[in-house]
Amino acid sequence: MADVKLTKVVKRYGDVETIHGIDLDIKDGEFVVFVGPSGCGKSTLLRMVAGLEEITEGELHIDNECVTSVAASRRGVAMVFQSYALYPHMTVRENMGFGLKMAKTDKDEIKRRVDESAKILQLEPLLDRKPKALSGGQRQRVAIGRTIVRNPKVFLFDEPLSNLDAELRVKMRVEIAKLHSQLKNTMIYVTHDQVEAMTMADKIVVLRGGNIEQVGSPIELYLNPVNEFVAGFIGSPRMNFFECDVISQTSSSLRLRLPCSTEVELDADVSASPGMSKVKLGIRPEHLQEDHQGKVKIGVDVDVVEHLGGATYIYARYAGDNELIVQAGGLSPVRRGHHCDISFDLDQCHLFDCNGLSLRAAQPIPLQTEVSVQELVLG
Amino acid sequence: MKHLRKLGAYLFLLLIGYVFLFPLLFMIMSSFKPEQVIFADLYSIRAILPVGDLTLDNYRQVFEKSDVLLYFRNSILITSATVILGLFVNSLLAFTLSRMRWSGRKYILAAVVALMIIPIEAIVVPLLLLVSKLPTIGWEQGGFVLMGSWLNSLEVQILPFVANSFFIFLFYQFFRDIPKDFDEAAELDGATPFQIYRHIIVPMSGPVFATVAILHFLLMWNQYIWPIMAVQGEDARPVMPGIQIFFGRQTSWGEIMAYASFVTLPVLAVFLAFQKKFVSSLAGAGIKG
Ligand SMILES: Nc1ncnc2c1ncn2[C@@H]1O[C@H](COP(=O)(O)OP(=O)(O)OP(=O)(O)O)[C@@H](O)[C@H]1O
Ligand SMILES: [Mg+2]
Repeated sequence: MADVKLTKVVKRYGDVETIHGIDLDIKDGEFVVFVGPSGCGKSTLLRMVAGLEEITEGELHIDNECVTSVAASRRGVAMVFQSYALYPHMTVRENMGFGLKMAKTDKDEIKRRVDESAKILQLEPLLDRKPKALSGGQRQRVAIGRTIVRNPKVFLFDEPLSNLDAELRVKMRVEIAKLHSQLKNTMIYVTHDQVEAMTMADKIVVLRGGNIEQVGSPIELYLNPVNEFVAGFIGSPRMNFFECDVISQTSSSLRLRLPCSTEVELDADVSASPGMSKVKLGIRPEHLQEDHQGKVKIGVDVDVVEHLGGATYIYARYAGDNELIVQAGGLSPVRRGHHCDISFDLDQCHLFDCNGLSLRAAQPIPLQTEVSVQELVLG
Repeated sequence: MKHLRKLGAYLFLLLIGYVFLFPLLFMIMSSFKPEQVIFADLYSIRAILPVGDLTLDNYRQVFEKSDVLLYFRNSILITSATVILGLFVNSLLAFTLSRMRWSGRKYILAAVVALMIIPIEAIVVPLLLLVSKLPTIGWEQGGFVLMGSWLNSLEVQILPFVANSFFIFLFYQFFRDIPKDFDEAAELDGATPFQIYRHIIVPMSGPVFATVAILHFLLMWNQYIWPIMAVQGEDARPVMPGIQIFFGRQTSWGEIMAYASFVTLPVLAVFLAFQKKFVSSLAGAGIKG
């Protein structure tokens, strides 16, 4: 059980800086997810916490102890690799006990602890098999079991589910979340899948290009992204953006012209950025409606319609070449080639200035943001 | 059609097999035949068949005229010591080259690759000079003493051949393809680099160890030039130079064949024992566990 604290952490490979000074506080028992596009430095950051990658500058504290230059095995962390990295010549039992064997733990103790963690993950029938004789999901569980055996302060996961098929991924996702509520250790989890991030995290850290874009609970990030990048990254399908001309602005409101020439007025605290000529309007697919209940109506040409049963995704073009995704109800009558009207409410719109910074939140943030999606899902 | 092609393939393999087996069979059969019979059979199929009055005379002569058992023992000692030390030394260097970061690593690797193209013949003379000046450490009257030179010893045939750039490179190539995740997982498990080598990398590298063991064994068992130069006396002589004894004023081919058959036996035994792993590693199979 431990806090993890990163202070101005920098990573350089020769002259190339890939992590640009990251500050992050992770509380004891938190499930933190690093998420971001490929190459943004998620793995590097995680490996620096693990001790597999040197920290060029800055400090790392685990459990209030500075471990910046402490060897990986002494940091009290355990890691699940994307490839699982199960030793192919050892049985599951030997794989799980290897760390303890290296620490010269006595045989009975090893056996006891391996049995104990095998029980948590229902691995008992597999203990005498070699990794080759296991399915993907079973290997995954052994890889997790191997980390539990060592009873680490912090668990690290680097895209552990990316080698599994979609169905198993959902199952393992729930299992890992359960494990967390059972063990209550600090866990850091890397993924580029924002659905995983949304469903599992207590706290999401959105990274881009070696910088933190935003840290917050899943709901916070969904409702109140600080910039266009986070807004586009969190949520599926991704948020729709289109550019609007500013007709006039006061300190607390803006008058805009939408691409289809409709004029709208909406509240926003823009006193800090006077004299804007263009802004970006962001609206999530689930907030666009194909009926006419929203205040603002726009006409679109439908390109593709995907019927998923429970929902329908409508891919459309709006006022020329603005692409738009609408999430409609399951039985939407809209067909390809139709021209139809879409409506939305202005208080569900996000607003970004020309640098992509958010000018206002879509809605006031509900008071209870601590209630994470994960808790809602798992009860 | 399919059968025909299969038949063709088998015929072809038979032919190849014959080409490779012929010298071996000829050697073994001739070793059991008196001199005149060998020559009489030379131009017929009988040359490779066990026909005529077979005799063990040639073998009796071999044991009488030469100290073949002593040579045999020497060769076994030299070869096994070199191969065992070599497997350890060469794989360990390859391990550090392929899996650890240290300054100068690239230069050592380049040197290893460059050294592969230098044949032993090119360095025997300077090497001989070197070993003739090296003292051995002996034990005399309760203390260590430095004595004589390395010449005429077993170690002069072992130590210069333990490290081998070609074998280092073979290990290096194999190790390089093992995913780094294994090392990192073991590192997090608290294993030292040597423990990673010992518990993770070595057990995963069976095929390459078998390949290098066979090649190194053959190299050592067949040593000829070096022992002729570095070992004059009988005491440390290995099997291959021993065959010289039979090329005298009246050469007996039967005895030569008997001697050659006798010293080829271990090679066949080793090959048959390791054959499966050897073939699988050459085929590139089983690389990733
Ligand atoms: N050894 C290295 N030398 C130089 N640059 C490196 C090295 N390792 C990683 N990088 C760079 O650091 C950046 C971050 O890499 P990292 O592996 O952390 O990305 P990631 O966020 O995990 O991406 P992915 O989702 O694809 O796994 C990348 O731009 C990569 O090119
Ligand atoms: Mg990565």
